[in-house]
Amino acid sequence: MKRLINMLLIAFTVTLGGLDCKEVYTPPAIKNNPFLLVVDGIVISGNDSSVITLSRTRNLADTVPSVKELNAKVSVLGVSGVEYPFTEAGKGRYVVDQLSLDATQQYQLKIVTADGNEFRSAFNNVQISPPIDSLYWNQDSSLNAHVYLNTHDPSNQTKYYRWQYVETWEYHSAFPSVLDYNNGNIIFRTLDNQIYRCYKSVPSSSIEVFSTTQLSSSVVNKYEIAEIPQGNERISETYSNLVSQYAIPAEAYNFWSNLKRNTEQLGSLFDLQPFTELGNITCVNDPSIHCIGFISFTTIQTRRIFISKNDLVNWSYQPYYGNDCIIDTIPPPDIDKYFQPPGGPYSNSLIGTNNGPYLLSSVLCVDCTNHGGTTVKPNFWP
Amino acid sequence: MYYDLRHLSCLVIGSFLCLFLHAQNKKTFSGDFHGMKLEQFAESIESQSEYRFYFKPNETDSIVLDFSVQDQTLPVILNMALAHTDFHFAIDDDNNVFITEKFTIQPNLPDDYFNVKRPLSDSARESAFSVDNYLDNQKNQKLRSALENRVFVIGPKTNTYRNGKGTVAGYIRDAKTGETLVGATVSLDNPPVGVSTDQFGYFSLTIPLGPHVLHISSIGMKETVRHIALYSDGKLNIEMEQFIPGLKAVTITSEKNSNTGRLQMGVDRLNIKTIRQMPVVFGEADILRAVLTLPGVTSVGEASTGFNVRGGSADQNLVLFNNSTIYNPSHFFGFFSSFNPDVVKGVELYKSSIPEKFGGRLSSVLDVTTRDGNSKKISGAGGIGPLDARLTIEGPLFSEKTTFLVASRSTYSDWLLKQIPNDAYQNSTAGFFDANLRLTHEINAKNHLFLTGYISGDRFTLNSDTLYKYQNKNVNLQWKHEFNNRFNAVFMGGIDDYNYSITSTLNPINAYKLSFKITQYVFHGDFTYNINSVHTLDFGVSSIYYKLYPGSLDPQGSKSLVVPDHVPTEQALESAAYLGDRINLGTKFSVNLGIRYSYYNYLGPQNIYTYAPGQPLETTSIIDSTYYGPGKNIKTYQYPDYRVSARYILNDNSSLKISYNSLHQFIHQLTNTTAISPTDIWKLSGPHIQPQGGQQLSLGYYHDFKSHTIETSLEIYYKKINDYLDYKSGASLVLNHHIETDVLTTRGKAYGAELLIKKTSGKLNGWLSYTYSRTFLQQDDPNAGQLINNGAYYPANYDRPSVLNFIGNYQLNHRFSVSLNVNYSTGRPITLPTAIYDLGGGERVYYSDRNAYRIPDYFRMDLSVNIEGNHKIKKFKHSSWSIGVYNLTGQNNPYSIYFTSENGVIKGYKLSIFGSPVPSITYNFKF
Repeated sequence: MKRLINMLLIAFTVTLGGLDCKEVYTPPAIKNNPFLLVVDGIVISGNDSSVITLSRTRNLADTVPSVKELNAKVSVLGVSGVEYPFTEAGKGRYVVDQLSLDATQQYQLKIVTADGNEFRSAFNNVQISPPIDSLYWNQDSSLNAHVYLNTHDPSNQTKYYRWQYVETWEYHSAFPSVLDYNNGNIIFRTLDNQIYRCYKSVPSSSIEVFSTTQLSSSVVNKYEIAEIPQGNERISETYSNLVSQYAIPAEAYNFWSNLKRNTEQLGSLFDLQPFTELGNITCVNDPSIHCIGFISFTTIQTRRIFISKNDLVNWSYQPYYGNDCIIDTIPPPDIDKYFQPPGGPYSNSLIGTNNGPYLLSSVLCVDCTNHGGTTVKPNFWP
Repeated sequence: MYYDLRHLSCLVIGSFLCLFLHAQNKKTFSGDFHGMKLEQFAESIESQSEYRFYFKPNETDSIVLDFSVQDQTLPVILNMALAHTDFHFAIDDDNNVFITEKFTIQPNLPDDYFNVKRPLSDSARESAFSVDNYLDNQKNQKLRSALENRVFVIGPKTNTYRNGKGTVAGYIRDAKTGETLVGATVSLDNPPVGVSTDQFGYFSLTIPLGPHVLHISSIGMKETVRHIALYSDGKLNIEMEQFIPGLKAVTITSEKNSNTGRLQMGVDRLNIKTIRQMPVVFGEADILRAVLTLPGVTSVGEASTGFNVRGGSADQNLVLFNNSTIYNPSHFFGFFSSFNPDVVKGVELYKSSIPEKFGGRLSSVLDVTTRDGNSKKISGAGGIGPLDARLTIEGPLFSEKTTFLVASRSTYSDWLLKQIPNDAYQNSTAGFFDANLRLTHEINAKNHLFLTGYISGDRFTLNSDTLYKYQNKNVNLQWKHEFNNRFNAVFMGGIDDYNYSITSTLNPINAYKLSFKITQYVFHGDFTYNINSVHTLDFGVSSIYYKLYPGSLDPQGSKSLVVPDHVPTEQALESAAYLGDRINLGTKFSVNLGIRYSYYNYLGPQNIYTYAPGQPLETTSIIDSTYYGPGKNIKTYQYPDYRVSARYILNDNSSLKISYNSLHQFIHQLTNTTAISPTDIWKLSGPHIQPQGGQQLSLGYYHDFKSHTIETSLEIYYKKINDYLDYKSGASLVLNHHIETDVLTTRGKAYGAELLIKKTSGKLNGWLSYTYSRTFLQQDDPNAGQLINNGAYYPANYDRPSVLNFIGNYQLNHRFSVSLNVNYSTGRPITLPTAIYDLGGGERVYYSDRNAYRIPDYFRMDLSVNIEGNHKIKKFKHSSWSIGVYNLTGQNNPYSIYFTSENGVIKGYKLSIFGSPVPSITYNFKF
């Protein structure tokens, strides 16, 4: 009896240690795409350009990354009748430079798609965003880094905030390459040509909104903009985050926070009944044609923060190239064998020389662009 | 010389069947018996004749003769001797004289004993019992047999039974603990009538005057019989013995005839013994999980506070705990029910014919009753499981007339949370406790007092930041008064309270506390009047005063900028009067007619918005507001609700039942999550929120096999619900000062069939149930602001068409039993995305029709072994082990399917709560 109980207790512990009940789910092949127009973007008044991206909904199982809506006519219309056209910039992007909108007027976005349907957003005032007070970071007890934002509106006009950000970071390959192979010649790399130091920029993909309606004044304290998990590559050298702050109207806040709840915050025991809110854009010529998106008008405030890996405590970065980067040597006569024809598997894998034999490693270990970054140093980089 | 009766059985058996006259009856005796004890008298007679006396000398000590006789026969002398005592005598054909206390041995069973014709012949005028049975049973002189063989004379004895009817009433109790037995049945073979005891273990049965054999049965107790000679109205208290498990093969004996004979339909009764035998998760007998195995009961998933009965929503169930309303009957967000199994006596679930004394909810009444304290001795029970420990102490207080029972349970670990595959729960802690108090006091035979106190609390810290707490607090006092045998009343007053709060202090600027509370003050007066054997009236009044705090937001700490926001309190008074008549029309047909009249007032102080006529209720259509002062009546709703049911007994083994119910509900739970969560708030009906209404028609066929040990039933129902609340997309329910702008009223329909096969006794017992049911909702009022699924009917979240349950228990021997529980059900409906799009920098999913798809079907098998300690009755402590495995096959049953955008890419996940077998071991003890 005692033995049986002991065995059961052991089984108990083992089982509980191994519970993992979250599995990837592949839905049935639902092919019920309504092919709705999706309008993404925010119209900025002041010293920044505005970008509106038009796309279409696609089937859940589609492998196409995105269906862009091309050849549309996009413009901002004022109540007074003033119209500012956007220009098409490819890939469904429509751009206008530095609109200066009148804070006392209401505006709407007008879209005429190539199939002749006309969509308009609801009229909205231009919201004035207060400046960002500070952007700062800390490391929690699990050594994850967090970027926080503080802001406030002295006039208490701004009740709802929305943020977007772009993260940029520098990372290095395993070995700095000083030599390059060029048409049978071994040449020294110039600084413009370096492939050791890369930069990667990724815009935010999550929805960040906050309401101060429950507070006595418009104060945002320690809003978490981004989390960088312990050891993440983003702080392998230097990390930067450029946050754009917008003021948004109440309906926009509801739209974005509902979208966040429905597409980012599910998975708890007490999930909301999911739904899709369409937004504030309607089809003028046929109300039965739906459109997804919420267009509001705002001024923009930005702020940038840098975090260096030296600022962090116990940041155990595991390089993307792993622990298998080894240096090989090749005798000079063999170089053509390795590097011809150009673009072969060894291009950009040359490191340097050691008095005769050339040193070489795998491309992954030498060329940082192989990991998706660019070698062009951003102009804001310190 | 006297003989001990025990020596005699072999001598006399077989000699009593002849019906000759008593040979010596004419022999006469003379003498002075003054001061003579029975023993001396018997010696004297035996010396003069062939009479032989049989009696128990220690019982007859008190008999002293004080007369002298001249030439009198023995019967005459004995009549004189025993005239003013409880003793009776009988003389058989062999001149054996039996002197017995309280009952008479009928040495020669009259031919017409069980077919009494009035007036009775002299020879059979004494109701009696045959001697051979009597003596036979003396072989095991148990209390039970002694009581069973006694004939209880009820009412002043007369020479013949009068014509007419009489009422026998009393309490049925457990002989060992003195605890009253609820739902025990008292039935008669001829005429075939029966009644069940009420919540106090009280019964009242009106039957023709005459001799009767009452069959008494109750789950977990040995069946017993009582012989009565009913001369007029009177009392009969009955004590029943518990089964000592394993000594007999039978472990569960439910009420005989109850399946076919009971008037009500759609009632499921589980006693704690049955519940304890079922395998459960984490080793604790769980009342709500047991209820979920009953036909017609479903839930949306394993972590749901709510259960759904016959297509009703979770808030349409009235959960009563000794008559206190429990607003949140679960711990740990629904993993556990908040009822301590050590104090629960049993549960009854009314799902179709809801007695007229209950109201205020549409779907069902779950009536959980606790035990009363042991009236005979101080005793206790407890247990330790993987999550919690519990202890109960009970016993008499000062005297047998007052008993107490106190119990408490508490968690001592929070490993459960760590098992939930969501990061948020990994850094969380949780705990719960509950405590019970039950006091009973017998003022006198006609007045009893019962006090119930209950408190349960949960705390849960999410991500070491946000603290969730919720708490039930209930107290009530009941006074039962018997005016007479046929007329009794129960008065109850109580307070029920439920509250929760969410506190977050991590960010000092935003630090807040959000709280919700509902308090209700309840008064009931319930009367039962047993007019005659045809009519039994139930009538009464009830009143509930609600005080609801819909939501308060308060800052925490001096730095917090949170502005206090208190949604004004709501008040309402819900009153009802009811009258029901249980009518026995002959032996086969009985009807229950009931009406409940509800009168509801929504009261001030309150500010009521006026909306532009003909427009959807939106914040933009508010045109005015009116303030009503404290206590001012704002809106009245009144409804007569009907409860009709009928039973027709087709033959000994089968019956047909039909019932119709209409009900109204004035309080709504607001929830826009799929599963009911503990932070859902309640809302009272007011000018803009109509009460919910429901009607149900059900029909049932019941058939018993093998002398009622196998019960089968088939019930079908159709149900309509109106003004059920659903929510606009993106509805905000918390701190909403005008909830009417975020809700939609829907109508619902539900129908289904429930098949149940139940084996109530034998080494193998249990049940198999299959339910087919559908439940749909519809919102098709274009003026309401939003159509759901374009106004078509859509399946409710808890619509699970096929549910199969098997509960089996096999008693291997008197110490080991094995239980198996198998559950299969159709997956619940979910809303799946139909398309994907890019917005806000990431991929998003597009949802269209609500609940158009289903999660995969659910299958689970649980096994448990109960090991009892040895059965020495005198042992100080009885212990048992319960070892079980929940989800034996490790089936990865999805609780939910969801899609989420991670780093801008949509991913679909299947979340299971218990994706592998969960073993548990629990130690229970009793002393």
